[in-house]
Amino acid sequence: MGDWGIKVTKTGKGVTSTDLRDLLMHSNYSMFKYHLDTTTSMTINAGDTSKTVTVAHGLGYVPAFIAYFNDGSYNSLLPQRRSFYTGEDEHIFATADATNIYIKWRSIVPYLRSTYDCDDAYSNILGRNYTAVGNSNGTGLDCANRFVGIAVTGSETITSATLDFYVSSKGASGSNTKLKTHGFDEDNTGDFGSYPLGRTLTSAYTSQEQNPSSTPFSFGINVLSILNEIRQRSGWSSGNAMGFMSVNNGSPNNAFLADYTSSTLVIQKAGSLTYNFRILVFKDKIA
Amino acid sequence: MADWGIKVSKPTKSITSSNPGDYVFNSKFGSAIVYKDAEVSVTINASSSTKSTVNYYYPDGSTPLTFDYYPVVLIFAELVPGSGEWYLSPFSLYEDIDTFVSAGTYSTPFYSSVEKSKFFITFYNRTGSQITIKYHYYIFANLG
Repeated sequence: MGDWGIKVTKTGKGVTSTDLRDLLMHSNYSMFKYHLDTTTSMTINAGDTSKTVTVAHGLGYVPAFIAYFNDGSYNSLLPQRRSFYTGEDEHIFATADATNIYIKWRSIVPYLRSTYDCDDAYSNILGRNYTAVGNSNGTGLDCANRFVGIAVTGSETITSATLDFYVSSKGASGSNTKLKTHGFDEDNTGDFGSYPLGRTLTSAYTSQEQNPSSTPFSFGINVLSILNEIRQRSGWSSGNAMGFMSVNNGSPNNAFLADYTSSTLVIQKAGSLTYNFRILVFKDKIA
Repeated sequence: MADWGIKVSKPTKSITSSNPGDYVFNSKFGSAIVYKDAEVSVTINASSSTKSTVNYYYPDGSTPLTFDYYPVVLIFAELVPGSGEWYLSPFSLYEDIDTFVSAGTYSTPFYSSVEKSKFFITFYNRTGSQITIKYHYYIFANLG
């Protein structure tokens, strides 16, 4: 019995060729069979860390598929893992089950959110590289945190700005610490090599009362109005440094919160991003 | 000499269409022939990795085959056993799925490769229990 079947070779290639790359079709081997060719899009909003879009394939089993995405500049085969020296790390990938194809986006960093580590700190009692606010044995504790490379312009929309004040030690009283926070009203506040607590302060400020949780912990200081006042100075430029001064605001005796330079400044901008995708689904069954 | 060949158009599409996307098959355009596809189960011990190797064989299934090119290999894996959700390779995840299986992480080299005689893929189990996952591979014969 002969070896029956059908073979189609590329132009210029013989049907007796043993190089499989010369073939367009060979009845001994299957080919992916087209089922669906479609497009979809995904809009990522500020603050998002995950997003999924779903495309129904209607096959009732898990099919083979491939997917591409377009970020506005390039077409790339999924999955894509994109990380940047600035800390962003996003992953775009595709999955399938018996009903749908899923395009998923995941990001370590919430979209349009930036976190800045404290660059410098100063305490009126402990000196440089320390933070302490409140009341220690009747002495008022004031401190400052400095952050550099703040990538905000004077005009873009900022939806939140929080100074996450890190606390590794606290007063023994167990009472709440009362504090008031201003910014340094400067275009590009310098480091704390010299005493910084006499610098001009913003008119914007935040007052709050913080209970002493178990250490270590962080609490948030809403510095949005302070940040806005600084970034809207005529001399402000994106990438400059900002400083925030927190002062005792009537804390009871031995109610204080302290640390070194572990606080962070978290800024959330407004905006959205749209990715477009193309999905090719084949009738070939995976599972 | 006439332009000889074979064409099969999609339903409702004309056999004279100039759009390659209107064809199921057209001998003027390349195609992807599946040389071999199969499902593989891999058992990975807790907090460890397992390298799964697939050697190529001739159609008899027993004679080893070495291509003189690097074939294209497409892999889908059910990274969460029994979930019914299959991930398109390659995998380099940092989300919750990494708790179970990852074929590479941001800080761990992605130890998978296609060679002329085999391909291999390494799965990392970051859970405290042994797990068995499935993956389905396609080796394309004429792409490479």
